[in-house]
Amino acid sequence: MRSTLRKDLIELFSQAGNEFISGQKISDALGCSRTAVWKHIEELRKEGYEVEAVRRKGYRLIKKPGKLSESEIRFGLKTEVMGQHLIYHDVLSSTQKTAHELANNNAPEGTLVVADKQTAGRGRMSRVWHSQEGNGVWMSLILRPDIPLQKTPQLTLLAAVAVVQGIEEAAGIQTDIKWPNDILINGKKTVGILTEMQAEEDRVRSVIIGIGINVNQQPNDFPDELKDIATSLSQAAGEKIDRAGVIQHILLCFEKRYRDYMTHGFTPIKLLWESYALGIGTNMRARTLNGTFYGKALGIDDEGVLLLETNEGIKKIYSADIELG
Amino acid sequence: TVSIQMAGNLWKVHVKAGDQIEKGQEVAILESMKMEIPIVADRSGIVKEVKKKEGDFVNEGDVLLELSNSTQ
Repeated sequence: MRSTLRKDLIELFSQAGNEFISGQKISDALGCSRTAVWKHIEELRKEGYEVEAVRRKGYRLIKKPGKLSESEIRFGLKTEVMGQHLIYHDVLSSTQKTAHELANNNAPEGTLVVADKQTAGRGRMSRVWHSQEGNGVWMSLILRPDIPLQKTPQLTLLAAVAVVQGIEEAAGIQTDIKWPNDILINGKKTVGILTEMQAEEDRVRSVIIGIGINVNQQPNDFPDELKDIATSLSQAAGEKIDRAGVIQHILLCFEKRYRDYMTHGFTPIKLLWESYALGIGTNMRARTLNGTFYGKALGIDDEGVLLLETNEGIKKIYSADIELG
Repeated sequence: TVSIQMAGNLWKVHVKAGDQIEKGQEVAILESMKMEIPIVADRSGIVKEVKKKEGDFVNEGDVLLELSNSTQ
């Protein structure tokens, strides 16, 4: 109830733009007392909204918080499932870790864990993921797909497609995918996706998709070792980007693509993925644990495996670091 | 035996010869498509031999563990 009222209140303010709305008008629109209106406005202020109050005129919203909050993410979220069960914390050791715990405790599909800061953010193979407060989107989404174990890697490609589309809708920026799921702007890493799963023998119990997005970092916000290889949406756009909007658009795109996938299978996702991927049709180098292979990237197969045309024939790449060119 | 359900690189093996393992236990982690995929034992028993080592490329259906006294 409470969060519905707050959502309506923010929508009222958004519609009013620069105009003041009287306390009476707000209380009529929300169907609550003027005292309740005042209390809700106080709560918004605590979350970092700047609300101006002028006698005889009423209230107007001056500034939304740059800070992330549960309300900021929830208001304007147009999904049916993804992110509707929302867990937000200012600080977590890792959203992925919390999501695993929630998945073990029967959290439903679409549960989203978001933190403003991670103290132990991690990437693949237990690598550290730099995730300071105030600038990024650090989130983990829980899925419970009824698919065989072998199909789950397709979801990591689906996530990459959804992130590219969500970023384009939220910030108007075009990003590229590097196989299988790194997301780059001008060759610099902007988004990392870590997909993990919980399995029971041959069955999927849950898939947890961790997404880390550099949103508002400026070059000096990155540690020295990342300065040359990482960038942010804000650096590409030349302006500050609203993090809640990025989350909302990605979740909506994810929900649409996930529905396509569950209905039509992997083919529509594969085609989108190939259209966003860097280097398809050109030469690339794949460094694997069993040697380095060089050849023309033909695309991906129905499992998402990279197909490389080398001098010794077509090589299937399951796991590798890719160098383009 | 405990077999591998999908192709990829064997990243971590959690068990060694002589270990008692239980049905449902995670015995290894596979890496494919930059995902970590747990390999879960579908039966209990004592590990007689670990047939693959960390870093190996494995195919769907490959045997990972030979077990003795195995029970479903």
